Amino acid sequence: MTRLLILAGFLAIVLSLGSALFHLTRGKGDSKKVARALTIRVALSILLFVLLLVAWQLGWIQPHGS
Amino acid sequence: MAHAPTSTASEKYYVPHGSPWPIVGSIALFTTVGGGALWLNHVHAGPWVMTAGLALLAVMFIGWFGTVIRESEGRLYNEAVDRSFRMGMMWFIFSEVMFFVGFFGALLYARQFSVPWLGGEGTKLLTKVIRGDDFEAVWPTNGPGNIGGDFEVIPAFGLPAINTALLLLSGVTITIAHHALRAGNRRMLNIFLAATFLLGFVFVYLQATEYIEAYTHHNLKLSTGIYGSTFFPLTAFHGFHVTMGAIMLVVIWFRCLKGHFTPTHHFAFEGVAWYWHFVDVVWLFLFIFVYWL
Repeated sequence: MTRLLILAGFLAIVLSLGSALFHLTRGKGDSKKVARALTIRVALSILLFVLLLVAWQLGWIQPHGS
Repeated sequence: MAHAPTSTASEKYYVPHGSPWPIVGSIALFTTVGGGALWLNHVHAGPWVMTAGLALLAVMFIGWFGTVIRESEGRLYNEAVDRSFRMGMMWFIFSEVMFFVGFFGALLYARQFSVPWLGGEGTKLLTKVIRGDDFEAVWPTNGPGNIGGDFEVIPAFGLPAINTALLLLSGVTITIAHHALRAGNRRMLNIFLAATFLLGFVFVYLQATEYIEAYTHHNLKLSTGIYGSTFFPLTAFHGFHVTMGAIMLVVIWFRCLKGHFTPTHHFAFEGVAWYWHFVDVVWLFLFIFVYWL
C-alpha cells in the first residue's frame, strides 16, 4: 500500500514536470503556466519526501542497509 | 538563448555568418576522442591530448553561448527563432530522459530479472541447479561470485537523505526566484538564484564525501558486482548533471545581475530552471529506487 502511494506520488510529480515542459516548449510558451506547474512539482516532491519519512518512522518501509 | 521577440526584432530568421564555433567544436571533439584513443593505446601523450581537447571544448561552449547571448540581447531573434530554441529544449530533454531510462533500465533488469533467475526463480530453476550454489536472490547483492567481496550499502538516512533535503530546498529556492522574476523583484531573484546554485554545489560536495565513505568504510566500489556497477554510474551521472545545472544557474545569475530578462520574456531562465527541476526529480527517483525500495 505504502509503495503504491509512493509510486502514485511520483507519477503526479512527473506529470506536473511534464506539464511544465509542455507549456515551455509549445508555441511561444506560457510563462505563467510553466511557473505554476513547477510550483506544484516542488510541493508534491516535498510531500513525497515527508511521506517517506513518516512511513519509515511508522515502520511501514525500511531502506536498504538498515 | 532566445530573448523577447520585440517590435524591433528582425523579420528574417537570424542565421549567423562566419561563425568559428562549429569548426572549433569539431576540432575539440576530434582532439578529445583522439586523445582518449591514444590513452587507451598507452601512448604517453594521450591524457594531455585529451585534456587539451576538453579545454578547447570548454572554450567553444563559453564562446558559442556568449555569442548567442549577445545576439539575443541585440534583438536579432524573432518569434521563429524563439520557437526553434523551445524545440531544441524539448529534444534535449528527450535525449536526457532516454539517457536515464537506459541506466534505470539496467537497474530494473538486474533486480527484477537476472538476479532472481540466478537465485532459481521462475523458469530459470535449471540455472541454479547447474550452478549448484546456494545463492539467494536478495537485493542488494554483488552476485553469486561475491564479486569485490563483502560490502555494505550506504544507509538512506545519512548523507543521501540530507542531499535529498538539500535538492528539494534548492527546488523551493529556484521556484521563489522564478516567481520573483515574473513579479519584477530583481533583488529577490538574485538572492534566491544564488542560493539555488550554492545548494547544488553543496550537494555535489556531499556526494563526493559519500563516495569516499563508500570506498573506505563500506568496501562499496564500482567493481562491487552488479550493485556497485549500477549504483555508481547512476549516482555519478546524476551528480554530473547537478554540476552542469549549477554551472548553468551561475551563468543565468550573472545574466540576471547584468539586467537580462524581463517579467514576460525569460526563456533562458525558464529552460535552466526547468532543467534544475528535472535533475531534482531524477534524484528523487534515484533516492527511492536505489536507496529505499
